[in-house]
Amino acid sequence: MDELAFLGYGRTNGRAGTRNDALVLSINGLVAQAAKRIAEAVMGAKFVATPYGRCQFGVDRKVHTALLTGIGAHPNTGALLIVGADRKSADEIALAVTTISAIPVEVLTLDDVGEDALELTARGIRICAHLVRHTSLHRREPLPVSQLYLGVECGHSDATSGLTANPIAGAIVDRLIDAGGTAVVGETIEWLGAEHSLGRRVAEPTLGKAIEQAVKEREDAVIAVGEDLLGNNPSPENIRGGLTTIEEKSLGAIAKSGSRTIQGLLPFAGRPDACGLYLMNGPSFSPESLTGFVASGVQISLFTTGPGNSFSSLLAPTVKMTANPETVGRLSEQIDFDASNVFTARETVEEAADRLFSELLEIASGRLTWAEILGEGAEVFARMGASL
Amino acid sequence: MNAAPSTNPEIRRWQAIRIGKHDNIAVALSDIAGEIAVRSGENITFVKLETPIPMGHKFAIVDLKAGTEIVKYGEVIGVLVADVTIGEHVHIHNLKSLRAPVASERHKLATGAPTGG
Repeated sequence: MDELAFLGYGRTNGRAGTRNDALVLSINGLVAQAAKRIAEAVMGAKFVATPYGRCQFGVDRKVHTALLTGIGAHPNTGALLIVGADRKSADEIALAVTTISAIPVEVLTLDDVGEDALELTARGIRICAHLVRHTSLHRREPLPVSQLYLGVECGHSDATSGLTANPIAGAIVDRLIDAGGTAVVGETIEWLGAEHSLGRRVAEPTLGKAIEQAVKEREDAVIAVGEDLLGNNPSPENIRGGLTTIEEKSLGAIAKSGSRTIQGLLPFAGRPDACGLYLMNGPSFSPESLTGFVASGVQISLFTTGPGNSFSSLLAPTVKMTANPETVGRLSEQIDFDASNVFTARETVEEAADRLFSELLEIASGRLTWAEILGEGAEVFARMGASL
Repeated sequence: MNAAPSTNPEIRRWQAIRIGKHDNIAVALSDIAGEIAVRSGENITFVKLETPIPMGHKFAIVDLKAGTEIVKYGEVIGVLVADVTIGEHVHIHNLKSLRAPVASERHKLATGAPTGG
């Protein structure tokens, strides 16, 4: 295959898909179980449900809507069934999805079936079966690598992460950006102590201030409740592993963002309006962070780990990479890419990045990650405030 | 899984890396001691370690005076509080954060709690 192409599902609107799913999306916690029954009855359907969907307000409600819309309109979604409790909010989500994506969208709510969850299930299964049949018509075709939007995440880091795995991820990001693609890095609190380094790479000066402000807001929130963010950071485990200061730890984390210009700071679950490298102001917990990437339109994620971490996105293949040789040996059905030769000085960062870039294109083209095979994926709905 | 190419998989070509080309420390890739090879970009240089250095830990690659900023990944990660010689361990006993005191002070001001070390 041409180095700068992959086999993807072309879409009429927006980026191509690395997968082509029929998705059952429950937008209200009241119908999540009924929606789950629909998806489980139909082979090949994927299922995402929010536990929430009412009595939210302000930023919390806006973000929740952005998450649902981004998931429904995702490049990897080939057909969508929205399951809701009431017609009004389901139609709103459907409208939002159809302004982004041209895929078939069906809507089914409790309002339509006299509040009968069993009737909802029965009707939903029939609709979903048609949607799955529709997605089975779509074929992969060669597409340029510039169609890819990569999320980069770390989970459960160790001494090998900042030295090798994250710099390799950064080299991948550089290659993708140079090829006209898009990438995003989140986990705001992990920029603490490295803001000036990020600030030197921004496309325009107000962005540097915005990055500092994003970190400060999280620091302030922790201080406001009387907790101490840095009292145990770096942790005793980090210190044993060789990390001395918070700046050092954060610089090791942001190494995964590579060296290219940062085009913007996306709000959590926000979508970029152009190609290039972005930061996302978001939580550090992987399930929340990865779903924020998915809502943004990320079709494949690279996930660096030290000792291991089994969690994955459901919609976006999440490629697990470690440079820790012991982890590679121990987790033969979790680690998708072995970077340990860099750590044991048998390979350079650049050589490993070449191999990993090829592997990413294979996975974008249909090779399954371990997490996909073993069903480790989910989409998780971060809250930005309490319910009414 | 992808096997990496190598002319001789049994030989470690270097034992430590200097990540940024202007870094004044290198990081051990395993528990190391004695005279070791440090990779810096395309070059290999040799450093004699003062004491054994555990995996992931830093050591000076030049003599440095107290008050010098330590550079890793091309960025300042803290300030030395004691003189060090080439090959000496650099860690919590002689390297202090420039950011942590600021954060600790804000916490103390907000809560009246004493700051940590």
